[in-house]
Amino acid sequence: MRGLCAVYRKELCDHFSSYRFIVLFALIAMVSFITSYMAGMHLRENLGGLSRTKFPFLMLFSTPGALFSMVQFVAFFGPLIGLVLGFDSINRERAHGTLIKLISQPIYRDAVINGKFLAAVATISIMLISIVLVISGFGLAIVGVVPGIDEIWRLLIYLVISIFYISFWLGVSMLFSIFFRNIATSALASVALWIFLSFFVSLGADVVANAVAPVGNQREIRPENARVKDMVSLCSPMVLYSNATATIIDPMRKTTRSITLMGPAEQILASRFQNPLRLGQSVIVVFPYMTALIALTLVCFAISYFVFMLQEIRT
Amino acid sequence: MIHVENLTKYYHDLCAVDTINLEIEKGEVLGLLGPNGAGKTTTLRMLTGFLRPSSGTIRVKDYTIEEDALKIKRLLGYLPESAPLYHEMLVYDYLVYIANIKGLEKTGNGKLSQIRNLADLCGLNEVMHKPIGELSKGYKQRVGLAHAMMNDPEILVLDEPTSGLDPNQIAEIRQIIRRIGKEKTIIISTHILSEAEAACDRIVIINRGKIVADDRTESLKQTASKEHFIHVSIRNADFQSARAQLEVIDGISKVECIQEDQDGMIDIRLTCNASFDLRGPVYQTVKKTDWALMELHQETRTLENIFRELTKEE
Repeated sequence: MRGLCAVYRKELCDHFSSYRFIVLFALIAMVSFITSYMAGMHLRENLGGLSRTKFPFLMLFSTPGALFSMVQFVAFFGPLIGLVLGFDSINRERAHGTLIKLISQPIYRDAVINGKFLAAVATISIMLISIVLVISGFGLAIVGVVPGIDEIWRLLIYLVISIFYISFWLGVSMLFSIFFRNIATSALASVALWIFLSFFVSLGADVVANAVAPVGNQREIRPENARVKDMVSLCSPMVLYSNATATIIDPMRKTTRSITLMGPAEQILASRFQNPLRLGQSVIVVFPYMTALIALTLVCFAISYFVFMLQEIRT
Repeated sequence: MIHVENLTKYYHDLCAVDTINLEIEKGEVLGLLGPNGAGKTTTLRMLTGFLRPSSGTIRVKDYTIEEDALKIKRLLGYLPESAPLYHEMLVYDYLVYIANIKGLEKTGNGKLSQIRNLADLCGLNEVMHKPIGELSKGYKQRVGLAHAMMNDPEILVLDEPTSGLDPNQIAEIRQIIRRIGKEKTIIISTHILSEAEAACDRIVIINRGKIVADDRTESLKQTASKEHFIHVSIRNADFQSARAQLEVIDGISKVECIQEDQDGMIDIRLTCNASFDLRGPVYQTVKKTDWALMELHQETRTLENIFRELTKEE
């Protein structure tokens, strides 16, 4: 435990004093501010005359400003934070020879990888929480509506999911930094995997869906095609994250599916009951995606842990 | 203090350390000598519990490396080759970090007083608040030494502590090692013979993973000085007749042909174990023949000769 704490504190200090972290943090904070400001202004204009607007505070995070909302921005570019914090965590120490020195100290070997991972997760958490808090304060001034308890809980759950999502990418980059001795190789491999899983999987999902259940023309909708597409898309952590946060941050959304088949009676019911989902119901809807995302993060770290523990470090 | 038995290490098919047996007493300063790639660093890394041996046992005090690696690490201070450090950290911050890792207490005779003592011992006071990356190699090595001694270990393992330093820095580091050596068991790996000769009580020479010599420094020096060589270059002679004439001289134990030119020049090495100078009798023997004596000189055997003989490539 002593070794773990020492490594954790040193790593945390290194992250907060590193230029790459400061630059990335400034960039993400700036984009989040701009997005939230534009969303706030948009909300103020459009909701001005309405008496009972539902969850206006959460809309700060889910309403697209100019191009995308803050939630979409984290889904797309949040992984970069994880990758930047982890791509050289082990191989840099190995290249500088400090890993030998660290491991020959009277500490357990896993204290090194655990300390590094926990410090990076703490950095991610502090970063996300501070951005969300500052945007919330900013939003209060623009929108002028105080968030309710339900909204605060939703924001907390959203933060936890986001931390796990970014930590998954942190785990991936740490795994590559253990596998590859060269820092540039591990960085490239991490970015390549991020691009593939975030952007190409949805393209691949279309191809697979059309191969399994071809659609005759553009207007035709085949449930089988949509189902296959949804299933294949779930290979992407970004899709998992989007689905996991979907009904949490936007309570008016009642499902994560792209197509919902309803009978005539159900359609009448749905049109009559336009109320938002309660927090518990929202959690139930996204629960499978949340657990999948958490499991992915833990599995990724577990692989890194075992590879690191079994690896013979000679240099 | 340290008991090593049949220690072997394979890197895939390559045998880096081959069935090494060692016994190191408390307070001894042991020099581990050998050419590059001989297996010195691998041996030290196994001793420090950093590398797992393929077979064999290492026992430090009552602990074995398989079962009590952490306890052994607490008894050891290790300075790896070229003293790897975090260059962006300040010297003070680095030493505090190491003190935290080694579990030194914050108060009393703990962390801060130990850092102060080590700064005095290693001469680090004036650079305590400088980034490590800005220090000279000598100072970096001192920081590495302070690191190794942070938990006041009973055993210090130093892997080529003066490698890459200038003569002044080498002298400074040796002085520090000598100061520490009065109280602790030290194992120094080096390929600089003068360093081992000056600092070590005992020398172990390793070649291709095997121990080829293990003796007290003094007795190795005595063995070296007992034997010396005489080099003779003669013309108009054949080796067989020269050998017949020279090997009968009292005190010459071996006659070897080093080189035989086509123009009739022979270079001969005579191994002498006599305590007196044999150049006179050799000259007298050559004078009686019709050979032309081109060169005659004596070479005293040193530790370096022993090292080169034991570690030369076949």
